[in-house]
Amino acid sequence: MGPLLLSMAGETVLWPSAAALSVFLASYFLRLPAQLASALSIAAGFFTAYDQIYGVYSFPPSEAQGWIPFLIVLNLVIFSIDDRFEFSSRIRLSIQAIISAASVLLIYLPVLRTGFSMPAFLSSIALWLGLWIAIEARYSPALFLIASGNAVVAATTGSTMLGQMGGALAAVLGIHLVLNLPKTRFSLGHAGSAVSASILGSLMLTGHVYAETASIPSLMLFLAFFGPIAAKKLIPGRPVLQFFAASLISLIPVAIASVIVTRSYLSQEY
Amino acid sequence: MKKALFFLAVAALQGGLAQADAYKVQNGDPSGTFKIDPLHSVAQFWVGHMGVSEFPGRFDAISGSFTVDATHPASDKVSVEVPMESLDTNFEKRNKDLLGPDFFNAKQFPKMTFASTSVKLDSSGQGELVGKLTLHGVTKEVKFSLQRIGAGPDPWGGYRSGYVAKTVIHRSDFGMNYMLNGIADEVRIQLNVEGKRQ
Repeated sequence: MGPLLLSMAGETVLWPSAAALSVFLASYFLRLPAQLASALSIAAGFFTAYDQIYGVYSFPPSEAQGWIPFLIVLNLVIFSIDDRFEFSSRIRLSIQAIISAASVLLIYLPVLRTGFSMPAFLSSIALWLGLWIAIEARYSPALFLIASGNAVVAATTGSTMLGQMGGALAAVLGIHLVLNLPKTRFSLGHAGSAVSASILGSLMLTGHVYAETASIPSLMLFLAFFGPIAAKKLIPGRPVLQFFAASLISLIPVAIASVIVTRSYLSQEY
Repeated sequence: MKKALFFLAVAALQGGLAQADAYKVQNGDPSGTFKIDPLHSVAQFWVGHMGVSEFPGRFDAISGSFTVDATHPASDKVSVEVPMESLDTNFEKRNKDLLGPDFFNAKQFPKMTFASTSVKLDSSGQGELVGKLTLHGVTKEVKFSLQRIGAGPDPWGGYRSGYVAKTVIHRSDFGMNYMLNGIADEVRIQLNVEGKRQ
């Protein structure tokens, strides 16, 4: 592996994972609530990658991906309060809908005059909110797999930079998954779900709008959320088996999407 | 004998034609307002790749104008606009990568523009061009070395003039920071411009 690839692997996997692990352990020793620890470790891991890969913090941001740190902080603050005081589901859903719409608007903002389409805008809001609700419903390997698949799809068909950031999110979620084993049912909490949804939603939408990331493989990734639902129906009452079955079922659309984009990428040799 | 004379005559004619066709720089009056001819103008760049080479790229669709007034050089001005989508690096995938958010982010910043603030040219046609370059949404002052190539009539009744401008910029100054360890920060730029007098 050449020095450039080593450096990219460090930015994408090693340093974000180390940061997420450190914050998770620090939170444990500081006796912070588990849900806050999850949210903080995901945010810290992603910030580490963002800083090394892109590293722009101007306000207002000059580019769509520049909004990601601000969206993370906003979601972290609001939904940590939710974790602490438990909003009613109606209030939570209203806030989620407002933040989803505002986030999509911010990402579309620079191209509102040139490349705006109302159906695409509205479906982006629906997908963002759907993604968030699916993450919130129950954290499962599906999210890790979708984040990994998004990294592959973005890097091969759109933007290497967005792919790297997607890879960092996957690495951080992978650390979280490993740290929670052998539990098969655990939650990221409202804040952790919100932070994950804001990062994944921003990366996917920015890739779609600005990097022409392949749409069909991206949409296929969402099918992974059906893994836990299918596993629950197929193997009721056996959580360990359900966990592995959900992982396998979720892996299928992610693997298909990854193979499609990788084959296409390899046909155009650099 | 007749045959030999015929070949001699043809050879003499060819020699004469070759002499008449020889390329020469026209040193006509460069004054006037010229509209940039995109078919004879190009913006090229070279950037270091992996520390082992410099790869080139070019923007094929340049538009704009320049005004030269030999009697009032202070009023000389140059204005250039380059659509980012006209990028060509001889590889479609690389064009897409460069036009995406990793580098130029052409969806958001579809144009690169240059507007001069000062043009200085000596009698030999050498000088410097200073102005505001807007690239990737960032505007910075950039100084080009400038050389007039020539000026004179074209075969279609028009009058043309051409220049070459060269500079080196740092892409990080324009907010393009991605992969600075693999693709150099320094970018050499050369603008070859031919204009038709209006």
